Amino acid sequence: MIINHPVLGPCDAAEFTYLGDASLINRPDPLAKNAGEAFYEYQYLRDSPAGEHRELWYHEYGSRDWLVVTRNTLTHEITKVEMAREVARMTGRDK
Amino acid sequence: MPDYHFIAQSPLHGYNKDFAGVTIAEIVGISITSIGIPAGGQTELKAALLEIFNIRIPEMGAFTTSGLANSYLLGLQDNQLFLVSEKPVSKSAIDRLKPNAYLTDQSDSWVTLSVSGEKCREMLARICPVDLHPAQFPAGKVLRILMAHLGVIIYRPNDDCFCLLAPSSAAGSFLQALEAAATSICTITGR
Repeated sequence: MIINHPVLGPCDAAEFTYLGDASLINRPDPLAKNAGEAFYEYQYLRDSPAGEHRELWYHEYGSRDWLVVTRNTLTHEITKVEMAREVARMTGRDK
Repeated sequence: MPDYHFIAQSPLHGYNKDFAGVTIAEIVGISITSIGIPAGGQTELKAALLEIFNIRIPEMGAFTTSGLANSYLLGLQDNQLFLVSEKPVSKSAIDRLKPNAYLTDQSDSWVTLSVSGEKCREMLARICPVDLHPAQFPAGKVLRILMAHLGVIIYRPNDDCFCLLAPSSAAGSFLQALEAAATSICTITGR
């Protein structure tokens, strides 16, 4: 499988490690009133779609960038690759 | 009380060996500093690096050089650089860079090797998964890739030389992989 790094171009999937659902970027606020429930959902409850899935990949043996890869879990077709940092900033994060 | 004296040692004790058309040599006594760029800090850091080292911030995947201490600035990510130089970064330079950079001294974490000679590209093709043809990877380029199961930084100072940074903890086995590649070239060419 080839992952098209947004800056470096096509890279072999062997250079990456897989973390999981891209929703892990959205860590709940530990000071919120419902923090316990929110962290339970964050930690344990995942969708497992048969089809398009946004997921986190780490370019460990390359640029060390975290990427958000949109991949079809049935065909392994990759339709979008974004820098995870930019995805996080788009949701309002400042770091 | 005993009087201790510490003697600096390099991971491969200054290894240097010629193969047919390839020379593998450890580069010793260099300083490696990781420079992380905080969000929005690029402009200030750019000015500081120009002032102290007379060096520009490279694009990701490329490096820039400075005659001061024969320094290389490797663009590994768009917010991470490695400064490789023949002299340690001075205290005053650290103080100047600190407000606009996250600095980590990594000199002891890496073994640095140069692979040079007319057959160096042919030899590296045996263990490096990246196309090192000058059209794809000309002098001035840098990459972090997987070689011999290790995350290795490779950069090309000139057409007939590549520099490799591998984890110092695996220096011996990485050298063994390089020697095996170099030896196999000798076998094929019958020299």
